Amino acid sequence: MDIEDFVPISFEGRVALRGPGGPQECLKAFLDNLLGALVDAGCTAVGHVKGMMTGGGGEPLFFSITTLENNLRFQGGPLGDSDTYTLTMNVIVAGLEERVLTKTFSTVLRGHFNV
Amino acid sequence: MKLVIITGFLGSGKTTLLLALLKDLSSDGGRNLVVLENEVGEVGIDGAYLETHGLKVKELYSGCVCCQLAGSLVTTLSELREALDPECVFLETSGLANIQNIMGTMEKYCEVVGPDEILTIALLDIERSELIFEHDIPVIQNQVKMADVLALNKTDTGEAGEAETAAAELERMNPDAFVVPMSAAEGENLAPILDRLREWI
Ligand SMILES: Nc1nc2c(ncn2[C@@H]2O[C@H](COP(=O)(O)OP(=O)(O)OP(=O)(O)O)[C@@H](O)[C@H]2O)c(=O)[nH]1
Ligand SMILES: [Mg+2]
Repeated sequence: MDIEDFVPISFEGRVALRGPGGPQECLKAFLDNLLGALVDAGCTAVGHVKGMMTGGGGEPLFFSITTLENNLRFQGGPLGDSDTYTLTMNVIVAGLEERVLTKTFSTVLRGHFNV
Repeated sequence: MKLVIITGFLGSGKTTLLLALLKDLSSDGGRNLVVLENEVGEVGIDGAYLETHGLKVKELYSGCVCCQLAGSLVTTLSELREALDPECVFLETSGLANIQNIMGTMEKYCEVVGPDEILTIALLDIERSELIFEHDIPVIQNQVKMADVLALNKTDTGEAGEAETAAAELERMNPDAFVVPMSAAEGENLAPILDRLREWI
């Protein structure tokens, strides 16, 4: 394994909650599914899946995952109530081509949020 | 001007440690410390995180200071010296940075930080110890070989005895380094690193 095996993608945009529950619950469900989908697609190691969500006049919520077993940690928050939030993410993982990583990310994201 | 380079693989805890160290050092009062952040991603997240904790941060992102942004690193350090004249700059490298290249750039091109004015702290993540001890990733191996301080982070996640074994192995890999098992998130065993920094700055 070498550093070139780790592929980065970024996302920044407005997202609207689709499921029930607040923004942190939706994020958690999204990140759980994202990790599962990355593993299914052939991801062999997590470099760092991290990001922040802002909006609703509350405090920014930061999140981070560093293992394939999904050791999700949140910091900061709580976000305020709103229909839409700004989501910013950097995803760096090994074992996937950028095209596959981008597609997997986008599909799972759209399953949980209106983008 | 002194430079503390905080390096370590992606997600090893660099930003968490940086925040904990700066909070503590700032409590001394009268210190003029500056943070320089470098991220590979196209969007900066660590800068925003540190700013929510009241730190002022200068960011270099969308590339790594060991390669594409080497020139920007040198220029930015000169600008910081000119504008703020800090006693010390804390640089968080990207998680993919090659520390050997950064040291080379500093030695060749940087006029505001002398070769004896750099202290390198490398974080190693014990939760993913296979990356250090099994996969033989050159960038990580370089960090272990070249760091002054090897901070073995996330000891709160390991099993009993795991940190001691890993620390002994790191001491074997770099006998000149100061090896510190710690937890940046829990604030455990940061004192040896803080003492070293206070002595050095
Ligand atoms: N359990 C545990 N988690 C930690 C510790 N230190 C940091 N973390 C967590 O590890 C994750 C990554 O920490 P960061 O500080 O963002 O790591 P980083 O090296 O700055 O990451 P990049 O800049 O993306 O390379 C976050 O979820 C932190 O909360 C620790 O001592 N124990
Ligand atoms: Mg960081």
